[in-house]
Amino acid sequence: MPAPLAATLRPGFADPVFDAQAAFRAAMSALAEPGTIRSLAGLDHAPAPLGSIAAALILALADYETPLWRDALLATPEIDAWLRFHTGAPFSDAPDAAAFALVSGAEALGDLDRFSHGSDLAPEASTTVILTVAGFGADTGGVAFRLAGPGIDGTRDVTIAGAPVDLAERRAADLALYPRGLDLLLAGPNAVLGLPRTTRIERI
Amino acid sequence: MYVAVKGGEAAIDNAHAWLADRRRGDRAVAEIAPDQIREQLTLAVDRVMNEGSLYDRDLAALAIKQSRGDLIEAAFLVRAYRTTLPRFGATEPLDTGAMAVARRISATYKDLPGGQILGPTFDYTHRLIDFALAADGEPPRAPTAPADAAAMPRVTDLLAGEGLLEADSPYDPEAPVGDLTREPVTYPAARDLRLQQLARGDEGFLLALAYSSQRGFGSTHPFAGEIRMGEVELEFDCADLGFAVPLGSITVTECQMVNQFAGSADAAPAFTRGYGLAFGHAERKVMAMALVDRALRTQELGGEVVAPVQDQEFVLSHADNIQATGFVEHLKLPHYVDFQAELGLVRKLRAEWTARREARDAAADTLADREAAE
Amino acid sequence: MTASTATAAGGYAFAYLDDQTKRMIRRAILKAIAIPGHQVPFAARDMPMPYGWGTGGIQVTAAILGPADVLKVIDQGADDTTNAVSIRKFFKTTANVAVTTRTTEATVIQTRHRIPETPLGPGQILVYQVPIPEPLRFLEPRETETRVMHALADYGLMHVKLYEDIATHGRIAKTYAYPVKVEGRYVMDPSPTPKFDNPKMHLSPALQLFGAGREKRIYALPPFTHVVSLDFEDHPFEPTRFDAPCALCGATGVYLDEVVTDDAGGRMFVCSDTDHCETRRAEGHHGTEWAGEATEATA
Repeated sequence: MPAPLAATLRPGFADPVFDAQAAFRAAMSALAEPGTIRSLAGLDHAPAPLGSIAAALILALADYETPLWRDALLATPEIDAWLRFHTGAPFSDAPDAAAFALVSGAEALGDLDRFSHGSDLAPEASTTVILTVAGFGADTGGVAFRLAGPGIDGTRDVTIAGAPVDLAERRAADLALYPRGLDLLLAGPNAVLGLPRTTRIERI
Repeated sequence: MYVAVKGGEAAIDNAHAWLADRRRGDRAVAEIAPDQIREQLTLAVDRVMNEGSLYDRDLAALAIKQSRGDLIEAAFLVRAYRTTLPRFGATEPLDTGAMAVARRISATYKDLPGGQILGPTFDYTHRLIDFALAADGEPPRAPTAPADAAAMPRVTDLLAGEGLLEADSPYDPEAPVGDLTREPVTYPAARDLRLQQLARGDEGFLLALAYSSQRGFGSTHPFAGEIRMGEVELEFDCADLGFAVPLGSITVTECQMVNQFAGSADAAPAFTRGYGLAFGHAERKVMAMALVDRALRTQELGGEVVAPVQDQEFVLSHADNIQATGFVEHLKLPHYVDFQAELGLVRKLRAEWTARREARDAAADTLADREAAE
Repeated sequence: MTASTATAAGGYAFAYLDDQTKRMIRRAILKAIAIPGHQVPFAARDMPMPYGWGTGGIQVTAAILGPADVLKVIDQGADDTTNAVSIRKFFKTTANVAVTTRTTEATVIQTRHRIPETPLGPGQILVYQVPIPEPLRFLEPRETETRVMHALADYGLMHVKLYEDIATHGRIAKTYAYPVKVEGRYVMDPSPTPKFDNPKMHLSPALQLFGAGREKRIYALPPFTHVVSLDFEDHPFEPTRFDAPCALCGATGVYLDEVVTDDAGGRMFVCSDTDHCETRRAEGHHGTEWAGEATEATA
């Protein structure tokens, strides 16, 4: 690691053990109970435009074993240096080779097919997409969705600002591939919301 | 009437205290020190390093002391310690051709460059208990001679020069170093992972498998091309420095089996290889490993898998004695919940069976009575 | 990244595992949750307790545990079985985590062979120790084969086996590790819990995580997941029933252990879930054989 870069590098977790554990538990609860809003401490000094929640999630989950894809907006030298230093994850230019994809917003998400959906033999070998959104809750003026599937007792309604408006249709196409599929972690301003491949989404 | 028994922490603590006391043995006898184990039970130390998958003579010796000489238990202690160690990377491949050889034998040539060196071997000892060892007294020092500067090429290199032996797979420095302690094995497994599992595997298990192949359950027609034991240099390629840094030397034993091969549609008749490498002086281990390695190549060499020793999934998933001993011994744990469930079922099935039997007998009796009456 | 700031006794990392190992396990857990009932391979580590003694469950627990958690460990339903005591002590030592025997107080419950009688609630996590995660293993020992069967959702072999049971014994002769189907897709081994416990898995509000260390697999059931015990229309699944109540607390509809009381055929049946039994006794419920509370045995 070149010394001048490290010296100017923005910090990661204040407590690598417990902060990573807390971020993981938020992500785990989010995927276990899709649509619930799981607050967690973000990394406010992560280099912009990487969001603080996305930053905390990727530091908690990525390392040298997990190829990382990020959209063009997030592929800045400063973010790259920060991610490389704090995670050691190799960058992948091919989204379908990535274990994690960092996506700055709905407009950068693109076609979901470009990410790895795993195989029938190894459906777990699929990309986890960390998508930054504007916020959760009715007061955000976002789009309302009704969710159903494992982790949900009946249905759960959620409003997401900054999610793709056609999220329901795009995920429905994905659902037909099950057990292959994509798992989404939506990173809001101070919370995470999970949409695993099993969640059925309906726009309301 | 009944008072529920509570087991617990005190019982476990007392068991551990008793264990420590037993370990110490008769306190009138001097306590054994780890350095004595390290220096005088060297082959036990070697085995623990191999199956513990960590080269550390002092740690292995201490583990042997702690485990009361149970070598699988000692290897287990080393393994659990190994899990917690930071990992910096992989060394450069060992050059066993440049080994400072203490022992080197070939069964395929009467003489060869570098010669045959018996070294410290049990091979030609008569297995008579040496009661002199029970008495005090130092053995005489072994005679020494100046080291022979002559090169000692590996027998397989000599054979390969003639084209009679399949070539070693080419070394690709960029290829990732497989490590089954870092990623779960999927089948079929590549040879590097197979060799890693065999190197960590139980010596007894490998020995039995190798023996089974010799007796015809998956024969490999082996010749012991070469067994060599001695010290080799370890080098670590430090990315930050841009060159390889010597880390010191370790003792290893290497075995190259040379196996007859009649050829296939794609490959001309030639000798093939089975390879074994282990820490320390571990001849039985590396010979068994080399036989099993070759047997596991059956499919890639166009053969049919017919015997256990040739079956990857069978061999690799059962070679690890830490896993094996854990799972066999876990039957000591309480299983009374499941047993209760089975008890209920067996009672029910027996009752039904008895009822059916009685009904059948009764029907037969009725029939017999009727026939008798007619 | 620097070394962990959180180290416990003996200089080991918090909850024993290093950060990288925890991340690897955590990633496997997330994928397991996303694909309920599917066995996710993970690079299980050599742990300081034997394989077969809960190393999978321990690694899962170690990966999820945080300083705010309250841990309960049971084996055969009991908090005071030796291995449960040993595992609880391991986490007390390495993670300095709060421990409890009360099901209702625990945030994380590690278990071997039982699901607590007290219904689990939202936010609770049940971690199962799993010896053989593959439900098809004893029908087809080769993983290369069973993986394909799962990929194709080809469970014909399992149905044939269950049907043969019915033909031979008049019923499905499986009393524990009774296979279930998850969300209509994956056939899953519930670990060697008695089939009595199977219905508790269905639509449980708790998150259920399964760890198999020796076999290097993690699988999961998110809360409110459909978990159906395999059966046939004309031979529906029948959970085990006991004829008598617990001899100590008088509970009915719970799983009972048979305790042999003499060598003349004397036996009685008591709760396998010690917390449930103790709680009931403390509330004043007593069975026919109750004779006061015990002190701890030392040998």
